[in-house]
Amino acid sequence: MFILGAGASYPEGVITDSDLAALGIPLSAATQDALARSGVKARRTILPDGFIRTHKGADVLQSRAAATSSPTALGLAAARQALARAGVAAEQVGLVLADCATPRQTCPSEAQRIAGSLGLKVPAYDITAGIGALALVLDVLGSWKPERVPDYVLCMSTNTPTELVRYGEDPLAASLLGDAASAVVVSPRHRAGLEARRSFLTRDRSVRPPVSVSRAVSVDLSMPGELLRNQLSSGLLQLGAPKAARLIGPQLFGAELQRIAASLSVDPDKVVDSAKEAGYSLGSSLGCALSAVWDEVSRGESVAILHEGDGISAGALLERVG
Amino acid sequence: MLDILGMGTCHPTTSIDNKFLEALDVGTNAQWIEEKIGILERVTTLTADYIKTTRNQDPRMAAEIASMSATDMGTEAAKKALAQAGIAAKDVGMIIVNCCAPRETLPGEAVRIAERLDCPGVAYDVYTACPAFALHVDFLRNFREEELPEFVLCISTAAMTQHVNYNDRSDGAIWGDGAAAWVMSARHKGKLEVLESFFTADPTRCEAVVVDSFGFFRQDGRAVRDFSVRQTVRLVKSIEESHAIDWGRDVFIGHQANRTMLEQIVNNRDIPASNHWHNVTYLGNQAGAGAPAVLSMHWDKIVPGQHIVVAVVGAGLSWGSIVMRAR
Repeated sequence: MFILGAGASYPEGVITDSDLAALGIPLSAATQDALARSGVKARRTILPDGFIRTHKGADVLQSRAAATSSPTALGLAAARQALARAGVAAEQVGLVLADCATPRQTCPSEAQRIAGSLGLKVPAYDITAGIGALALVLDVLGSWKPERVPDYVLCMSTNTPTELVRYGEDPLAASLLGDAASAVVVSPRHRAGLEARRSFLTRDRSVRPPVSVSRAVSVDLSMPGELLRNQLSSGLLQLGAPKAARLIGPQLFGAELQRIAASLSVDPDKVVDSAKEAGYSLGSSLGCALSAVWDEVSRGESVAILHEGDGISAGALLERVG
Repeated sequence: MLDILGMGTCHPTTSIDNKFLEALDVGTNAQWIEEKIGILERVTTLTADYIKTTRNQDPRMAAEIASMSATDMGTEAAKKALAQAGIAAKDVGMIIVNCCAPRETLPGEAVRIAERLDCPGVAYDVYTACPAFALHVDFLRNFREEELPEFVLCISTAAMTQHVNYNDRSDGAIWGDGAAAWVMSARHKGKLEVLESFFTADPTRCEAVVVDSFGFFRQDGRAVRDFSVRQTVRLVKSIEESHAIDWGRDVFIGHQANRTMLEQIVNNRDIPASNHWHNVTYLGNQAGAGAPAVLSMHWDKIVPGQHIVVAVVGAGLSWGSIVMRAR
């Protein structure tokens, strides 16, 4: 399986630390510890300037009415960048898969909305496992009979959790979450881009899911650091990742990944962090990280993608082949 | 090879009839409902009193008062499917779930149900709304057999009445709630062998059926009905041409959208009433749970050699089919 192109899309709005401080919500010691593990410094949002200060995210319907964009619009923009980087026209796509934990509508599926916006008349549906969207979809497609996979598959994850954050009550979610979409174009038979050499997908029941989304979104960063390190170490071993590989790990723990990289035999400079300047965008975040380094990965270089902590443990080892 | 080893359903116990809807005084009556959509009763996770007094004008309240969630129903249906298949939850290596109206989107419906079942297998949502039966079977047929675990549990669950505007004379009459589950295996033979499956979509028409996350269901009723009848007839005709279908022996199951639509389809294909299995008349449209629930409810009537032809359509717009043969 080959990833021919990756793309990402972020809304223009930015929530700064000053914006959050202006809300006057005190940060507990536990919240500060959690924030130190993530390292998020700024968050992108589809909410208009000043909206959070005025409404504090008290009502999701108000947030949605005011929003400057939507998960579908962000997903569409990410898809277009991935298609452009892959050199694939939308009309060549034979299957569209999407993940969205913050859909405006539960029906039709996000994949169908984005595929419809691209004018496609092809199978389209959602595959969702929580926050490890890219790792999941790579393993699923890699497990299929090649003849059952179309030439080009468009896979997206798009999330706008800032619409669901209760800014007046939940400083942790407010500090961590941002909106973004990511996309990849995958092919089983066109050798180019990044080849998925190995992948795995298993159930992980060792920790509570760190993010839950219903009418509001909440975050729990209680996953012990030692457990995270052990799981990442195990994942890298399972993938047979070379020491020089770039690491796209759980993006909720960007700062912690930097700190523990050396103990994983990974160069801290090779740890990719998409959340630091944009906030954590749930399932979109792994793809955003891949998109961020798409043009930097040189021929023969490897990228290890590892996802842990929300019921799924998944990983993929990619290598630049073209 | 891909077989269905066991199936199960779950439906709420509250039923509302056409007289109840007539009493809501929203411009409909029992005779009109029966003539137009052929549904006599539908089951709901809401209470009759809640519907009568609020018309569900704030769907966010529906989740608060509902007797069951989609997760509750999916879990119960799964337990029955596992029991019928003679499989323990710990033996299930994969759970895939279709949920049309989830209360939570993270963790996914599949993870929530897997936790309740104490099932250690991988769990994720594979979602397209109404044609979920065809999507799930076709999705699993994509896998190389060695990549599939011994047993896969598929679930489709929907609490659509929680998204119905009961001031709308049609929507209130259509929808019911329910869940269906089925155990599949690529290595163990079951009662039904899958011969063929198909799933596709025309997403350019996806706005024809919409459910707002915190709001109501709405659809372009006439366009969806025309599409549903025409596409189902096409699917069935195609299957008739490629398989030795004998409607004197074999069975048709369509999307349980409404009874009159299904009658148009079976009349077009000359399918006798006895071999048209359905449950919409007394349960309502259970979205993606409808067609598999029908098969589950007729499980003991399946006879060896019989073909089961499933043709389903729905939001997306998407459609698909399954041809099975009873072992």
